[in-house]
Amino acid sequence: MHRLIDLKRVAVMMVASVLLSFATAAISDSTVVEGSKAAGMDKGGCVAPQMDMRRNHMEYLKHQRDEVVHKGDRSSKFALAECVNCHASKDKKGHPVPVNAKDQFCDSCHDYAAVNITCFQCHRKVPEEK
Amino acid sequence: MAKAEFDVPELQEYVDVPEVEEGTMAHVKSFVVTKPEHNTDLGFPGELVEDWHDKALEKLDDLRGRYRSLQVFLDACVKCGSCTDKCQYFLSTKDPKNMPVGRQDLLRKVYRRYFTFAGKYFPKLVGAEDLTRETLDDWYNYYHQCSQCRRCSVFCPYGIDTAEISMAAREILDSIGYGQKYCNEIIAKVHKIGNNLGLPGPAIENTLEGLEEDMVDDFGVEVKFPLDVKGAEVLLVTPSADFFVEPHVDGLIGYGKVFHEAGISWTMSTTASEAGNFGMFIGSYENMRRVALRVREAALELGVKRIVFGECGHAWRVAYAFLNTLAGPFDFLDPDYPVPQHICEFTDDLIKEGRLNLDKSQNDDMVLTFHDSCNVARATRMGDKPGGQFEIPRNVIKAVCNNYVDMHQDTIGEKTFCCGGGGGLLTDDLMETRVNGAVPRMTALQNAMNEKGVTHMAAICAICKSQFTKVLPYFGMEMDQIVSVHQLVGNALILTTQKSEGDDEEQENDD
Amino acid sequence: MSFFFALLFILASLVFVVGLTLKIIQYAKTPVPLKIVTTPAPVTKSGVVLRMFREVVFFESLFKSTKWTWIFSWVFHMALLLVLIRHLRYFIEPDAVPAVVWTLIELVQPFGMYAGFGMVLGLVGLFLRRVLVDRVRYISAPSDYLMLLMLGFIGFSGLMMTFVVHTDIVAIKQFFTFNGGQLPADFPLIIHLSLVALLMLIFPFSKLLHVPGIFFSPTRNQVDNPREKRHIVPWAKALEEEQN
Ligand code: HEM
Ligand code: HEM
Ligand code: SF4
Ligand code: SF4
Repeated sequence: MHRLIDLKRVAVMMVASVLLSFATAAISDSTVVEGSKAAGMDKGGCVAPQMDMRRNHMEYLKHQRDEVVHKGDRSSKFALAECVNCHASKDKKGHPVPVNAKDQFCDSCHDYAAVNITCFQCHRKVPEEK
Repeated sequence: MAKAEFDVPELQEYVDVPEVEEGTMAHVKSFVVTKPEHNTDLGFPGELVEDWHDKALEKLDDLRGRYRSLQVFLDACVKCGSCTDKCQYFLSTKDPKNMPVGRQDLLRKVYRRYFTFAGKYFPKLVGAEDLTRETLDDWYNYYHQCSQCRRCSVFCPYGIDTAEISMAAREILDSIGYGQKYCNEIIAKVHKIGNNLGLPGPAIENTLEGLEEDMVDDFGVEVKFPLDVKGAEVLLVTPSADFFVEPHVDGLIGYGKVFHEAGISWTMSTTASEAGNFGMFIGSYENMRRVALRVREAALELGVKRIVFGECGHAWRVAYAFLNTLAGPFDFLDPDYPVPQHICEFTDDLIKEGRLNLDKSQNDDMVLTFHDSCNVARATRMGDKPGGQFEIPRNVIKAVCNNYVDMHQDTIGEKTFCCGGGGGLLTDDLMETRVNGAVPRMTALQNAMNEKGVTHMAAICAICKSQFTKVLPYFGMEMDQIVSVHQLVGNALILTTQKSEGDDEEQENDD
Repeated sequence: MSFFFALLFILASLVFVVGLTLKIIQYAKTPVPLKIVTTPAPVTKSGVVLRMFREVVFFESLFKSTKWTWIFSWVFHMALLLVLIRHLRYFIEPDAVPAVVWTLIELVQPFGMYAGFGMVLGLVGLFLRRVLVDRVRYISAPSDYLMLLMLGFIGFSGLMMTFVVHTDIVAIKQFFTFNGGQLPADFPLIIHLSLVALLMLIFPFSKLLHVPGIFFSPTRNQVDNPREKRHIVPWAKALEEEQN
């Protein structure tokens, strides 16, 4: 008999915890940040489809790096500088904000998925001044 | 050399782990109870009941609700195989049902079939099987080839103790009237007469008087072996084998001399004339408790202040680990001493205090080694530190002998091998199992004899001593190579007023 | 597909949590009438905690026994632990935990990635042992092999995603944190998740009960003090009163 009672108690706890977790913050469908060049383009504007970029951007960048460093071939469209150019936003004063700053384009996902980005220890994180 | 109706295994240099060979021990069946009263005296049905199938399952269900060990052990095994080569019965019989996990599985497959979701609906997948007459007989045969030595439990990552499973299985078998003659007959004797051998009071008295006379003849000292003396300080409870068989009785002489020298009054009891408690072997809490209560009653009746147990392995387990539970609390005894104490602890204390005059050279005709009895090693402690059960008996031996060496590391201490006769297997109808089970110990002993010149092996267990006396000859060794620890103590102990062999005796005895 | 997996995971989580909780309650409620600790054993509570720690973290008893099983098993379990810690990132919102915790989870990431190989390697070793050693083969039921295969394929499909055909981590996290989100329709992910759901479903009914079991094992978790302290459980007490 006591088994049944336990079952009930456990079930109540379960449902409660499920409901609680629903209350956590949602993340938007696109991670493109306001005020960046990309925000002004339509979905097909990126170097590759969104689905592809989400999965494979790190491979493309790595590949591009190898092409450049080993072969001196800079023709690839997957250049980190270009990503930054397009995806960095500007603050209220019009100054560019680093892409890896809190809640900016790179950080929003990488922080969400607990991935450290080390690219910007060397590479520039704001668009080139023209 | 003893005659055998089976192939006696030859000792090799090492005990190799054999290839599995199914069914080699399936024919070995310990005698079943034939006189119904041997069952009914213990509270079990006289013979195998009609509805044994349902009753057995009912009992299994009952036990898993009362023993967490059983429930957890039945569930938790991952079949890692770590225990498979740890059982002395498997190592020489090759029978996979003598591997600890193989033995457990006999019960586990039935548990799974009737009590688990997976076993009810996917029996083939998880190796669950119906309870059939063959399985029941397998239970009987193989759970009576387990000496409940707990060696497997040392190596199992979850501490799964096949002894617990064996005990539960035997209790199930008893509860349906399928008990083992050897154990149940003995327990019935204890309930009726007070000891395993069925020695009545006058017979014990007679033996003890004989010992007292020998003492006077040999040493000119009146060493007493008191029985039922009210108001004594210590109640000694010792296995009944100590009253009359070699080398056990030499141990008893040793205890007597130690008590005499310590000047502590002591007594034995006719009603509690047995340290052993076979109730443990059959897993029956009720019977174990009934047997244990005699000790409490004797202590109360005689008005003693301390309880000391003689040399016996499983008896020490029941005494050390269970007595307080079964027959406690012992608040009427002297709180300055542990209840109960082991005779080795008692003697060790006296040695440390320098209260015994020991002449080690008395044992110079022997090179000794020590067999750790499984129940002492893996189920109890001596002294106040973990591992005292290994050190204290060795300290005692080393204090009374000049020549002591250990056997191979992997065969002593917590890894000790069973003598082969524990757990209710010490019966002639299990000779084949016993001889096979002794192989790892015999191998280690033989190696110690060849490499280190060992001549004798000491033990602190009545079952070990009886088993070795019987099986040593199968391996071309002498039955008197097994000795009691307190036999060695007795040999070396010079009594204060002993008639002297030399002239310097008197001075030595000055404190 | 997302709908199907949502249902599957709700069911699997329920079965896992309720099943395991009931088992733990059952273990906790079943009395231990006698002191049956395997000695030499600690004589204090803190000693027992230390012993249990050594068993759970180092697999001490297994180490005493067979070094090969120990190596494979330990590598498998420790790698599994790292992998599972790495997986926390799919279920925890960074803002929901203290920053240190999140930093720690970040730190584990690279180790967790490669630990996947350790896990699969250990499983292969355990599988080979099960097939090749005749004693272990004798005691194995089909489920024992399947369990290893299942975990092996979970690991393999996971590694495929990590190193070969990536999937959309952010979408997965949104899905598993109840933020809507569609599960990406990637083949390795479908395999991975289906097997993980299966693992959760069978957990409370299989030998995976060794996880709670080890903590409830009386031969390992008892204090060796029967002479000092009387140990008695209710049913034994009742028996005592009835007979006196
Ligand atoms: C408290 C945590 C755990 C401890 C202490 C533990 C300990 C062990 C040990 C000592 C073994 C025996 C050695 C072997 O055969 O590998 C084992 C086996 C196993 N464990 Fe665990 N384990 C834990 C958690 C888990 C978890 C979470 C899983 C699965 C998700 C798992 C899956 C397995 C499997 C499948 C085996 C059997 C391996 C075989 O077939 O040989 N364990 N575990
Ligand atoms: C709902 C539960 C789970 C989800 C959503 C999940 C998801 C994933 C994902 C998305 C990856 C790819 C990581 C990447 O691309 O970097 C992965 C990898 C992996 N998963 Fe899982 N997984 C789950 C449960 C498990 C479990 C229970 C195990 C182990 C028994 C496991 C073992 C692995 C391994 C070994 C890898 C590869 C190494 C790594 O990246 O950590 N997963 N998992
Ligand atoms: S308790 Fe001893 S005899 Fe019984 S299975 Fe384990 S190792 Fe063998
Ligand atoms: S060592 Fe323990 S878990 Fe492993 S097979 Fe033997 S009983 Fe099962």
